[in-house]
Amino acid sequence: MNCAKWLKIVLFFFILFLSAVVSFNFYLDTYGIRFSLFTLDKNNKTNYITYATTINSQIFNPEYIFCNPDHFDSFIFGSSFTSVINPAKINTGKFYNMSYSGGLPAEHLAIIKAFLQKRIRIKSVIIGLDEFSFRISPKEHENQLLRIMHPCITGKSLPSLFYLYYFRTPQLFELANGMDRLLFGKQEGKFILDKNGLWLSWLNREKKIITSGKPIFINKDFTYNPFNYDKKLTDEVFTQIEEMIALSKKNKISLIFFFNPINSQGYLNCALGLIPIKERLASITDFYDFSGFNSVTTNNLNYYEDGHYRYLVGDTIIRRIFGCSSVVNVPKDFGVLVTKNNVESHINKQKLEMEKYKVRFAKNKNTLTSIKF
Amino acid sequence: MLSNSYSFIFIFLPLVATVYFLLHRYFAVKWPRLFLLLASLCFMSFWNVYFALVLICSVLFNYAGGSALSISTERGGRNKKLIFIAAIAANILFLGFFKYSNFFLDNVNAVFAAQIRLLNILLPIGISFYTFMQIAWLTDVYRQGGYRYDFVSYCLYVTFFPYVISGPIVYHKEIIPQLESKQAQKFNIDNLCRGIFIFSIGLFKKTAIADTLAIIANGGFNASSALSFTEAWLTSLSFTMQLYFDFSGYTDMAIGAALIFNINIPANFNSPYKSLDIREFWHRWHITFSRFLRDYIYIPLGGNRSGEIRTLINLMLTFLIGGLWHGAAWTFVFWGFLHGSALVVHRLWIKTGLHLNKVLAWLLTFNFVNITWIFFRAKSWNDALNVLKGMAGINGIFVSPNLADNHFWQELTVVGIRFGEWRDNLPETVTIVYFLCIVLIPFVLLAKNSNQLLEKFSPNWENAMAISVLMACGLLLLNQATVFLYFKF
Repeated sequence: MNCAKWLKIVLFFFILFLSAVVSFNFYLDTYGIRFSLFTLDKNNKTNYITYATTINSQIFNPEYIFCNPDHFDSFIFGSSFTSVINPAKINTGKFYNMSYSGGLPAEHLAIIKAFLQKRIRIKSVIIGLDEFSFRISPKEHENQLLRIMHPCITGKSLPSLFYLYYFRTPQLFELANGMDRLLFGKQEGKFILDKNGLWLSWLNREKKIITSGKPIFINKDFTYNPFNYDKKLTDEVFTQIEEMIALSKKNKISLIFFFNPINSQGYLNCALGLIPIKERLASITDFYDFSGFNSVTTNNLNYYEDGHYRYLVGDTIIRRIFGCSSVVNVPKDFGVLVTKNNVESHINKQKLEMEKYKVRFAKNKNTLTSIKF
Repeated sequence: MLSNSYSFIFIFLPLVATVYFLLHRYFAVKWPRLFLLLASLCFMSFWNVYFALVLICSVLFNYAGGSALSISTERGGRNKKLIFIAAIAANILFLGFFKYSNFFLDNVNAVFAAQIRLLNILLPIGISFYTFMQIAWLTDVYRQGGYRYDFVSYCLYVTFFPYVISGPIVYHKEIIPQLESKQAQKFNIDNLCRGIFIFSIGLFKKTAIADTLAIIANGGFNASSALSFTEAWLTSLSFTMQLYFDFSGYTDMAIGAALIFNINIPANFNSPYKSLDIREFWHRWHITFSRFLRDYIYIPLGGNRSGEIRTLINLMLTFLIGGLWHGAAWTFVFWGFLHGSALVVHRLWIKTGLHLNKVLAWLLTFNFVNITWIFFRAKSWNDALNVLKGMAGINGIFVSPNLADNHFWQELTVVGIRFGEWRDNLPETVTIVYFLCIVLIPFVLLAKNSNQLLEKFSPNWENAMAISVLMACGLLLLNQATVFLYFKF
């Protein structure tokens, strides 16, 4: 074979292979980005949206609101932890749950700004904070297809988004999904969202817990290694929070912050690091604190796995903040409104609870968890 | 601009090659060379204009120094030694200023409890490579005289974009004659095919293999304090493989890019992990660097001509310098010390006349190299020691909880084996990625390396298909998108 022919063959198969991969990615639409931007029922006629794998809610949710600007006037922002809070149970506004995987304050702020720019009316905003809200840079999400933001919000072009999305090698799970769809027409809906943005994907686990009456996960072995928050990153998050507060004042938006009820074991390593953060937050705004070592966070029965709390806990949060929802009993130690005046006593109490928690685990050798201090 | 970037592969490289050969066709020979020089400086400027300026200063100084030295040598001048020492000292100071100033100040601060402010210096990319290349030229001129080159050819030799950033450390006598030859002036489709062939292999090695291994290596080193036995071994082996596939992949790309311009660059790797002793390893790993150490440090120090003890000292000194060349940190020096020590031990072992079984020899060499890479990769002593502790099983040896009911494994809990997640401290990814480093071991031992494949290259259907797939995969994997599923529901 001569070299010219060899080059032509290489070029032909190179283009063929690339085209096949791009077409496969386009067809599969793993994170529902094409679905969100182009195929979505924009008139909100359906009560539920199901998707095969998981959807990029950072793109889906804003697009949904852009298409239905008059349907909602209040929004719950947060990570996937917050996604179980049922907006329909809040009676102080027409709420939509904007939660998205790994949601960070910088991203909430960008979306609020985009809504205001598009003249979407905002009456109330609830922001759920997590331990990682102060340690993960939004830059980390820029290339994560599950968490990449809506192009209208970032200002990036659609071609650059589609290049990132389609011009890449599919992962093994995508190939498996693609084969299922191509060969058997399977489209199992793992991601389910109701019309108010509530994630219903945990319902199977909810049934399991109700049936068994026991926790459905076991804590892993754990090493006590307190985490130190990076000052620069923390400062940046506070700048964003301050900007949200200023924006809400300017636009007469009711703004509520709360700390999610992070499972006690997952919370332990960041408990000390979060203390100055909570003190600083209290100095600029009141907030509800559901984190710590209270009766909810220390009981695995309240969680689907080591991070995500149950719908019931979401209802309890609504009850504590708004006094509504069907939950009758809210544990007394669950959810404290932290203000400038009580922050010191609250922090002291949390420190005390943490020490007790550590001692309890160290003593109790029969627990499923062992902690190395 | 990286050689593994779309802008390089689709715009810079084809554009420069096309214009270069067109200029050769229609203009005098100096113009295409000048164009290639400018293109190389532009390539450096895409990184940072300041890097290009530093490179230009270095080239101008060395060309002036080398020319003066050459004239002085030819005339048998008394100034010859003085010029040579001044030129070499200036190069060392130049490299030292940019690369080692802060390291030096840091140590002064630590030893004398001083608080001297560190300098705000940006390390010019490729400085270690092009400084060594020019030191080699100066030394050759000093030793033998001659080697007086046309200004543009010399500048192009030092700045040629395929290797200016990360080597190989090529010698003037193997590149400049090629640049000035008539063969270099004509477009050669055979070289183009060979260039694409090895470039695609290199791109695949870098993006598909090295970058995948980097997930585990980076994640493991970032969580070094908590690594269990399995995690620590997977971390160190992943880095060992990552470094090889990354560096040799880059070198393959450099060889391929240069071949398009009809320039043959020497091979830099020859299946180093096949080595059965440490000496063989250094004959196979970063070959152009090893030969520089041999020709311009070890031999000038006296090599093996001044008695056994002096030889061993020379070996050690050579590798201490080699360690420091890799980076301004004590961990690099220690890495050099370990390799120097191994070479000393090897030399003494050879004298005993004893021979190790081949499998044992390979195991010993590979594991030594694997362990010493930990010091090469770790950001600090603590990180390195933490990984080593993990590898020694001090942080626990975990096996799958599914084995908890098995009597045999239950017995082993006495020796510290525990049931639990063996990859808790490593990044979450698909299972094959954790074991890729192990899967690759038979491959690096048994398969032909890219240089061997290039030597035997002849265009056919099989390698055309293979290269088109490797090239497409390599390009698709340049995409920085992070793909993962939110599996937890």
